[in-house]
Amino acid sequence: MKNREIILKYLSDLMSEKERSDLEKRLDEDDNLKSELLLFQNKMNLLQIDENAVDDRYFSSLIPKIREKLDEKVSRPMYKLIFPLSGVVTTLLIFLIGFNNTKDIKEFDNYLISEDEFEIFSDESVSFMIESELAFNNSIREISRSDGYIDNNLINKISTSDSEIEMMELPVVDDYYIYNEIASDDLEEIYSNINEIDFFEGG
Amino acid sequence: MDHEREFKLIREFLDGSESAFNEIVRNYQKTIYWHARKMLGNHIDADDVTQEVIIILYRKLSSFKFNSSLSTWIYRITSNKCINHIRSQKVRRFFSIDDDEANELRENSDLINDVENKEKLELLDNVLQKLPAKQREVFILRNYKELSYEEISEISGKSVGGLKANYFHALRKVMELMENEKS
Repeated sequence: MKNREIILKYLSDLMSEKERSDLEKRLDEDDNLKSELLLFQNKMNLLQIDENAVDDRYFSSLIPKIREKLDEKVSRPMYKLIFPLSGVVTTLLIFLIGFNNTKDIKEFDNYLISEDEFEIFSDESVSFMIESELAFNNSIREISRSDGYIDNNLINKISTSDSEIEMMELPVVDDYYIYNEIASDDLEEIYSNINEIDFFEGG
Repeated sequence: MDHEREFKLIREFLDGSESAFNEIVRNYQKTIYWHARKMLGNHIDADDVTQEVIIILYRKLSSFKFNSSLSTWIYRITSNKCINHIRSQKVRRFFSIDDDEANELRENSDLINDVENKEKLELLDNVLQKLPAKQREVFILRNYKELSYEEISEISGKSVGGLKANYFHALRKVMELMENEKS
């Protein structure tokens, strides 16, 4: 075994008692081994530093610094609680909103109609519009009949397209409205017709 | 400071005496700092660990069992903190979190003012930082603190045989590194 390995074993306390005493005996006799051990120790001394040759201001300021940190840490629990709490609340909110959204979507889904249903609905809407228009025309006829002033033929002359346009903002149907809706030529014809009627027929 | 005096101070602190804690810190602050300094190789990290260890002392002294010495307990905390610090540094280096400015600050800050000690400390850092953390730990505790393997075993939780082997490898590597530094 090389001298270096022997010295390493010796310094690491990896030798038995017998090995140790043998080496110590050898050190007294073997100058090479002794000088090698000295060289070894010199190298180790190069790694020794004076731990007291330091800036003492660091150590004198250490306790106040620690006290400051300890005070900070004492006042921290509130912050420590706030962040996890806000995290939990946010997670809960996200979960609840998300949950409600899916519920809404499900509910909305229930309201959605199929294509067939849509066709039926649109047909019904169109027929409702037609019926409304017819009802409007009929109501005018009814009015004219009840008044006895307006001839059915004249009523039919009222432009249907005009009535269509004004269906959405239909004013209250009264005499004034009807007179306004009838063209002046038609009115003249109405008046002439009225004049021709013998109100006292058979009388 | 003898054990009895230390234990008395701990009891006083646990009874509410802050000055007793200050005395404990004054007795151990250099020990903690230098152990961390040698383990971590720079003042900034050693300062962080020193402060952390003292804060742990303040908070955990109530759990101190009076069957071991306070110094052993403090070394154990400091060693664990240093090894955790080294691990987290490795992770930071792997993900390149540490920037050049922080590294420069680490290299330039130090407590030592005189040139001779500064050079020695630089050499010490160069050599020790090349040792694996466990070998570094046993090398520092045995070589600088002159602790027995039994005491180191109590601090590190490793077997005496394992520690001897670690110290042997650490010594061999230190010698090689010193020769390289010289050449």
